Amino acid sequence: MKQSDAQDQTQFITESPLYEKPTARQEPQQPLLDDEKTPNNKEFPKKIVLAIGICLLLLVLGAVFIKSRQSSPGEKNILLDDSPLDKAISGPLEQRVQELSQELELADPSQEKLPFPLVEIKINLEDE
Amino acid sequence: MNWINKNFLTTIISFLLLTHGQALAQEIPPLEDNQKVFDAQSFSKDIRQLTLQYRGELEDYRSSEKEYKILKQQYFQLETLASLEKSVRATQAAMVARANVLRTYIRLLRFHLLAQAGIELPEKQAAQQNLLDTLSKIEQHQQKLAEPLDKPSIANVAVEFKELFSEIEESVYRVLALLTVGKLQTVHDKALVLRHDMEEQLATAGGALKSAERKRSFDETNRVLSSLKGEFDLVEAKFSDSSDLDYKEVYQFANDRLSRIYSSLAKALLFLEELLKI
Repeated sequence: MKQSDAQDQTQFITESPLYEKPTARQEPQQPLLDDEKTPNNKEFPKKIVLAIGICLLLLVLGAVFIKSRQSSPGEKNILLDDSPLDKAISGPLEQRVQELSQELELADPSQEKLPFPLVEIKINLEDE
Repeated sequence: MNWINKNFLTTIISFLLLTHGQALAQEIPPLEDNQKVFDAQSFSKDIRQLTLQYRGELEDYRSSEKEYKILKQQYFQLETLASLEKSVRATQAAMVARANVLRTYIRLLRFHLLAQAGIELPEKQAAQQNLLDTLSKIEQHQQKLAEPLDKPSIANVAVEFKELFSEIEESVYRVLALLTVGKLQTVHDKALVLRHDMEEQLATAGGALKSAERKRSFDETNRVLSSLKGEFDLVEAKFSDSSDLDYKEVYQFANDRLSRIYSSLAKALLFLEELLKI
């Protein structure tokens, strides 16, 4: 039978192993059978602990990142650069500038505050 | 025991006297400062009083001058003794009123000169002495007007006054120019102090970018303020030139220069104002 099959030209050579006589049955390894049959009870808490740990790590990293963004010295300088001068400093100085401007207005040479009185020089009884 | 008590009492009394003496010394300010405050108050009070007096006298003069002109015209139209008498009296009254105005004006100007800061002391003293001399001449002129005058005497007084008037003008324009210099010099000095204070106080404010911008702005303001020193020196030189006694001309020259100084000071103050907004 086997011989006739081998002589059959229509059969693919790849199918030949299917017709071979099976060899002795390989026994599955004992430890693998044991794992499937009795799952480890310690596996479940380990995974939870690992997940919680990762979550905590992410939280800590997030907090650190937010904190660093809020108090970054470079960022602070840029904010100060854009913000106007503190009123406590600029207020008195601004007042002094205003006072000096008023004083300057009084010193305008084109506006004489005490002009020479316009009096008639020729007061007499002569015929002019 | 008595000896110990006496010593103890003496020590306490000495200590109390010493502490009280020190407290008194701290309370009483130095005499010089007191004098300065008194002077400043005295000037402003005198200036107020004299300004009121001056306004009143100027008003009197205007009405006297108007009356003099009307009666003079009547005299030339009527040519009577009565109209002559009236016109002589009106002329004398106008002369008296004019002398009063000029006298009070010079006194007022003197107080303004004394109260004004920013003027070199020798120049101030010389100008003040000049004003006092002129004031004395006006008072002599007033004495001549105190007695009743006739037509020829009025003619003489009128000629004398013409000479006196040019002296009055010289003294007045000298002081007016000095007053303008003093006012502007004071503003210039204060602007320099203010710029320095601002530079000190704003040095630490803001970031590096602001500091650099402010520094450039301060430098520019400083250039404007420093350039004024040369302008002030030119005006000063014109005053110091003893050969040039035409103070009316000096006043005109100073006013041209001082107008430029005024513009530059206004620009510097605008810069300082702008600097506070950086």
